[in-house]
Amino acid sequence: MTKKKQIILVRIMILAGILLIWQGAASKTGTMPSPVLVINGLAGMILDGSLLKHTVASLFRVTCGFYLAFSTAIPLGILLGRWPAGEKTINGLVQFLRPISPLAWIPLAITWFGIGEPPAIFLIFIASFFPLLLPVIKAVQQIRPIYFQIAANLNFNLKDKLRYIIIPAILPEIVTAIRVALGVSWLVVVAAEMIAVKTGLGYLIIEARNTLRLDLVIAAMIVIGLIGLALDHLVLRIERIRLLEWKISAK
Amino acid sequence: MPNKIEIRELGISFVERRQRLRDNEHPVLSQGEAHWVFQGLNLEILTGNLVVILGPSGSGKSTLLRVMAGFIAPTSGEILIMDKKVTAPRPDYIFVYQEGGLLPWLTVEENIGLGVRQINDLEARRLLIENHLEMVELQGFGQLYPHELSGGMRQRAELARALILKPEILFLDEPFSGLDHLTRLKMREELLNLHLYIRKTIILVTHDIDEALQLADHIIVLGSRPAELRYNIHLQASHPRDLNDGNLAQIRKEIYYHLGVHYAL
Ligand SMILES: Nc1ncnc2c1ncn2[C@@H]1O[C@H](COP(=O)(O)OP(=O)(O)OP(=O)(O)O)[C@@H](O)[C@H]1O
Ligand SMILES: [Mg+2]
Repeated sequence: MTKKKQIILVRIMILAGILLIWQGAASKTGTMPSPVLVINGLAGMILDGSLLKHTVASLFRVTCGFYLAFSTAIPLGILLGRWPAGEKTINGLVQFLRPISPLAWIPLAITWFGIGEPPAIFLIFIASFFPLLLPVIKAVQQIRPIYFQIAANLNFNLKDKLRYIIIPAILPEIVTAIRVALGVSWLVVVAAEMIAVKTGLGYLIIEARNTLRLDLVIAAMIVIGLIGLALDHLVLRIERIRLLEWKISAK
Repeated sequence: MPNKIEIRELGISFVERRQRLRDNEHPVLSQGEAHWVFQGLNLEILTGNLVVILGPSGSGKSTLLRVMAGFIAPTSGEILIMDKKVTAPRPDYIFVYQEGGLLPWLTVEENIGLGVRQINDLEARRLLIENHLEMVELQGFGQLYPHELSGGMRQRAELARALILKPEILFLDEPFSGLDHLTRLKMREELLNLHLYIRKTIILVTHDIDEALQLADHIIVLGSRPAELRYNIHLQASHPRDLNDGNLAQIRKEIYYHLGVHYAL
């Protein structure tokens, strides 16, 4: 038996074990829905289209918030990485804001943006901004100074510097940062949807709890986990493309 | 217009970064002492010459080169190249690095192409790159990344990237260090041919006295700390040179003497 097959077998056994314990717990307590019930609930949501609707709503928010964060944090990170005085000035503020959980922003988000999409998107923006900003600053600071001397010698303008030096040099760190930021965004979107909006997987969970449908709660949790995994895999794929090969083989 | 590079009363000092601890003798926390690499250095170099700078390790050869190339501002004094004061790096004065100056995320071809990126005619650009790859005998290696080349090949690729810019002055900081003896001799010969062909100024730092004697139109020997001009001589002998020839042998002896070695083994 190959190693790969062995791993798959072990995984199946672990899954079976979990299901078995779950089934046992469900039949003993009576408050916990059984696996069969959950799968039924999941199938129901798939069939009536509600699962797709809520998933799309969540993914849409993550995309918007993440895109906003990406398009501001990356340029700002490059600027601060190349501008030590600015970085020193702002560093205190960044370090102060960073440990504040995105969830602590919920009340302010609602006061500022009201109810609906904007506060939810704002929360995801906050959640993914710092995980993108800090690694970019650090990566830019660590580019070998010799490359910028070459740039001066070759008469590079700002665009040339970005294209030939800064962006390729920090690309590996950006991909890692994207992975982290997307993970956090996916965590936060569920929480954000429990408060401000009437769609999304977070809302689905709250709604199911209010109607005492624990089976649907668990079904939604499973979907959230699967999509989180899929997002992570997607970014991991990017990490392996040819563009980054030099760094991997240079190590 | 005088065809020369003039170094006038050049002074360069670095402030030691290490901070002194506050104690009784030094009640004020000081920034560390300024240490002068050069002080009041005067020197003239004719353009079109191949100039070799020799000197013990730490004597300031690399620093002098970097000041001339505009990467470090002099603390005092000035450098004039053809009557123009050096203030910043320029694309016609190219510095070739001791090691690792190629961008690792670009192929050899793309690295060499950086200097001609503003040429829009793709075919013309490709030909130019191809020519320069050939010039340094790297034809067929254009598609590889720097980490896939040997040390000597990387240095040749860097030389090609510099040459494609048709620089007026080429600064080479120990360009052949880290090469095996044969490759080194070969590169030396190629550099000399190149110089005889393009007749541009080349300023080269090396530790190898015979290399200097073989190549140079002008040899400069620096002493150390703060570096002073120890020896400054123009060589007229034609190439290829026989280093056992009376005149060259005498110069070699003097260089050894000024480097603090009294007998050339
Ligand atoms: N950025 C710097 N900061 C502080 N001191 C420096 C700096 N660069 C060079 N120095 C000092 O200047 C002196 C000359 O250094 P330089 O690199 O020019 O020597 P070199 O002649 O090229 O030596 P080598 O033959 O070993 O390459 C050294 O004493 C070094 O400590
Ligand atoms: Mg040096």
